[in-house]
Amino acid sequence: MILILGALGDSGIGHLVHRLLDRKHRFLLLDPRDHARGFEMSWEMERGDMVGCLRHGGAVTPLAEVGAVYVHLLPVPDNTEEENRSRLATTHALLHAYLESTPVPVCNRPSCSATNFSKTYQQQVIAATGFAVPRTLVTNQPDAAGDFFEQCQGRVIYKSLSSIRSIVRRMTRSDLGRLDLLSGGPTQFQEWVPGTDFRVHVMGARVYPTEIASDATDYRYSNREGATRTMRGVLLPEEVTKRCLKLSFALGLIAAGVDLRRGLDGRWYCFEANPNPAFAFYEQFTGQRIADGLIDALLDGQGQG
Amino acid sequence: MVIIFAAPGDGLAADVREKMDEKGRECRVIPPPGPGSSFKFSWELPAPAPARIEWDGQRFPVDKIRGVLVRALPEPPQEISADSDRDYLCIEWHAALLGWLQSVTAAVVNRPKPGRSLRLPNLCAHSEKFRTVGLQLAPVLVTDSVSEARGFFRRCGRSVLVMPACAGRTVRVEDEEALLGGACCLIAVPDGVWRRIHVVDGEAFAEIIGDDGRQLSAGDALPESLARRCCTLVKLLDLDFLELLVVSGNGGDVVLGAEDLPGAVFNNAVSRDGVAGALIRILDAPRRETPQ
Repeated sequence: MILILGALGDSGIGHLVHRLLDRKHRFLLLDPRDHARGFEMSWEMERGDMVGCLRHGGAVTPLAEVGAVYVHLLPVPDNTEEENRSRLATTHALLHAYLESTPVPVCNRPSCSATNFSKTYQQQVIAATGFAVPRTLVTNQPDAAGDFFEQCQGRVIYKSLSSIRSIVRRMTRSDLGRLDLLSGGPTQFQEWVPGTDFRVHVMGARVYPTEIASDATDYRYSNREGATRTMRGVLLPEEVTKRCLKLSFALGLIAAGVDLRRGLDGRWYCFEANPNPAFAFYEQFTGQRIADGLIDALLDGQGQG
Repeated sequence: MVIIFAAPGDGLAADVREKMDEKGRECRVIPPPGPGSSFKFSWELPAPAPARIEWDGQRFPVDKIRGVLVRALPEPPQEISADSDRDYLCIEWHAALLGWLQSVTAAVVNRPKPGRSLRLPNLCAHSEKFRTVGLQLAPVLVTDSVSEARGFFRRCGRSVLVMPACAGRTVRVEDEEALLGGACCLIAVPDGVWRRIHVVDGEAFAEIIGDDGRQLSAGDALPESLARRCCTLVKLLDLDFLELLVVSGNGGDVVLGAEDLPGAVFNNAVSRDGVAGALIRILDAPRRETPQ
């Protein structure tokens, strides 16, 4: 049985549930927001063996029946009342401990997803797999950011260093006038690499590459910029496929959304590996069976480093 | 030069700095940067030049840093409010330093990694490594059910440690009626001799502590085999420095807790000196060409 921890309203989970129903594979969907109201979890660890159960809706499911876990915890909304915020924080802490400790495959374990919390940390793992990485400056110094902008001939993007507020924006000359704001905290600046975007979903040992043509700075938000976007499933050169698999494995991820760009110089740049990829979005444009790949990976326990 | 990121008043940071001064070696203690700090930071990767770090008006020659001891990093809150600029800046500083510390060729004690947590119950993920070296992890129950908690208490004997799931102090409970619910982690407490063991650079320093886990008593000669097993465990966990809470009794050596950012509270000078000295051996070692 696959245990799914997340909200049915989440497009990825909705799609995964649909495919599991189609394949007649047993699963249990629990929404973490219902924890301590709709379900409870207890587990015990002694001499390396985990024993425990889930109580939900009058039923009891032994954890021994759980063969794999898929999790997508949504952040606590900002307008959540303090009492609920505290309850959800507790739920996340309990689930976190289970997800780290259970011996079954977990997509993805919190400690493996956590490399996405420091993009420059992850960038060094990416570089070690053989991908090119763009020239990057991390600074809270206005003069350093200004110099970097000039050195890169004004072809610079900026984004957060963590996974919070992670939207890519193009830096323009008019931004030079507000660099003093940097003194509050560091920002990541990257040389803009012209080329073609690819999102590669790695599901265990399989890859599902999508080519994206867009004139937006961040194609995911093309409609915000009033820009166009088209996507199609493609095949990657074998070496690039191997690097994607190597990266996902190095990060210990069962599922990853690897963001690549083939530069005009012919090099393959990698920007990040997303541990919570929105695969359903890509699947609807390309027809790739990414959710099935995810189910197979969970059942086979592929990819967990 | 050695850099220590530490909150003001950190005793171990002060000890290391004092010993470095005695050796005539340069050592600076910097508070973890955060919103409003005077920390100035520029770092480029792939690295064409060393990072630029300034704090309190002083510029640090990053290419001369031999070692970094991280006693504290900017600590993001457990639940992040995306609307809070303060939370956001704290998270960004944390992310920036994690990336930089991964890249520096200097020795970094317990080089920090995103998501690493060795506290119970997460420590259960490493139970195989404990078994390999002949240490046991104490039985643990994670629950939000009072009846499950009380059942565990009865099976364990006469007391458990109770660790709240989120924030809060771990307390010892010796009466099952005192288990009133709330999500928590319960750790079975065996009978035996309690030791707080600090392992650093392949050396173990122990103190016998009171069985309430807090009250400190006399110093201790650590059994050779236990010291060796603790040192091997730390290697398996890919760490340089770890604090373990171990109870030795008829059931063997049982680990009740571990901390890769030790509080480093000592009641005897031998342990205190020993830990600081061993840390300096790591921090003041010749520079490497590539990160560890």
